[in-house]
Formats: sequence, structure tokens, C-alpha cells
Amino acid sequence: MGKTVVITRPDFDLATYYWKRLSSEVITYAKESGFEVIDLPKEKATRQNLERAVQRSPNLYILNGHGTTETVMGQKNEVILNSENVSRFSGSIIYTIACEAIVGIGKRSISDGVRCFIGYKFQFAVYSDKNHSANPENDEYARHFFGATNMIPKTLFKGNSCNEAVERAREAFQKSIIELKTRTVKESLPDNVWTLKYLLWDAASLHLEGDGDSRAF
Amino acid sequence: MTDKIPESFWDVLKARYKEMPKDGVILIGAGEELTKAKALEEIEKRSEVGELLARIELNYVRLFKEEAEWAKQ
Repeated sequence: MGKTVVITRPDFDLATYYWKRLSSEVITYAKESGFEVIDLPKEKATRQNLERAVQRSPNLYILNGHGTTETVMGQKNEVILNSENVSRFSGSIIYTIACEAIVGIGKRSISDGVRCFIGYKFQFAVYSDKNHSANPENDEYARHFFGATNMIPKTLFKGNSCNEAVERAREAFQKSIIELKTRTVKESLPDNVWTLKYLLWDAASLHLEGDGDSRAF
Repeated sequence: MTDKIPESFWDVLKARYKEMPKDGVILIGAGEELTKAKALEEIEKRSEVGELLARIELNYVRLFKEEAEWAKQ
């Protein structure tokens, strides 16, 4: 089995800037673990580049960016994955943070040969601190979200199954939820409550379609 | 998620978002960046984004209902 992963990281608004910065640790982790990473950041996060990357038979696609039930988008919301090209990803595993994509295109991708599709049923939402918008790595609130979501690719890199990847992410969400609930009681910081609300939402939204026992590597 | 938002909940939602910290920004994967003012605007309009905020709040409130159930056991 090869060890190639593709990651798209569009960056054209605050949300995609956050996703791009906070997923860079996944790239570092992958490279240090000996994986070949095809990184498509900013203007490189295009449909053409993604389809070109398919020719290298990646095992895993990590698609950041916005989405709808029928699309995953790249830079400036160019549609990079939809019903017209999903069959090209046959045999691979796809993980995306794109809102609601799993509901439509994610589900459909399984009948087009994608082994497993992991995503979020509802709109993915993050509570952030505007004082750290230039350096999301220092955003105490956002770290809870990405600490959990990044568990999915990191668990897959270790050779674990999609079910295990989702389970590890759910555990990470739960750990943050308990931490925030405890801090809300002990401290009077309202931001804890607001972070908790959105964390609960995303945790409930995480979902998988296809073969949960499949492994990317 | 097609359940209608209870009419009475919109006022509750507005009151809660008036308490949102001023430095908080909600990043929604569909491309929205909501400051407190923008969130209140969307709630007032009862827009699609406003409905999303209502569902997120209802999901949060459910947490307390579940905890109340545990307390009964």
C-alpha cells in the first residue's frame, strides 16, 4: 500500500485561513511519519490540481474549505469535488471539514467506489477569538475544535480504521467538552460557554459513510 | 434538521446572543464570520444563519436536559 496523502488548504476568508493554519500540524505529522504529502494551499487548491493529484493514486484526501451537501470547494469557492468527478476518487478515503458534504456527495461517493467518507452532517462552526485571528495557533478557543478534528487524519496515518479515527475524534471532542464544562463552573469566563456550544454542535455532526473498517494505510 | 424553531425561542436566542463576548467571532464553514452584531442581525432577520444559531443553541440546551435525566437516576 502506498503512503500518499493529498490535502487542500484554501485560504481566502477568515474561516479558511483558520482551517489552513490549524491543519498545518497534520502535514508536519504526516511528513514526520514518512508519508508523501501533496499540499495544495491557497491558489493551488483548485479542481485541476486535485484531479491531477488523483493520478498519483493517493490513499487519503483531506479536503479543507467550504462545502454544500453536493460539493466540496477549494480556493475562492471553486467546486473541486462533486458528482461529476467523484468517481475519480474510487478506492480512496476522503475526510472533509466542508459543511454538510457527507449528506449528499459523501453518501453518493460510496456508490462511486470511495471506500469511506468522513465529514460533518451539519454546518461546521468554530468559536474563535478575534484577538488571535492573525495567529490561530494561539487561539485558546479554536484549539479545542482542531485538536479534535485533526485526530481523524492523525489516527488514519497510524494505520487505524475510519471507525477508529472517528472514535478518537469523538473522544477528543468529549475531553474538551468536559474540560470546558468544568472550567465554566470554576471560572466565570463566558467564552468557555460559547466555545462549548459550538463544540457540542460539531461533535454531534461528525459522521462516516461507507466501510468504517477500511484503512488508508 | 427540519423541526421548526419554537416561536418563543427567538427572543431567548436574542437575549443570549446579547451576552456574547465582544471579542468572539463565530466561523461557519459555509463562509460566514459572525461577530456579535452580525449574529444578532441574522437572528433578527430569522435568516438561514439565524436558524442555524437557533439549532446550535437548542442542541446546547439539550445537554442540560440530559444531565437532569442523569440526576434522576
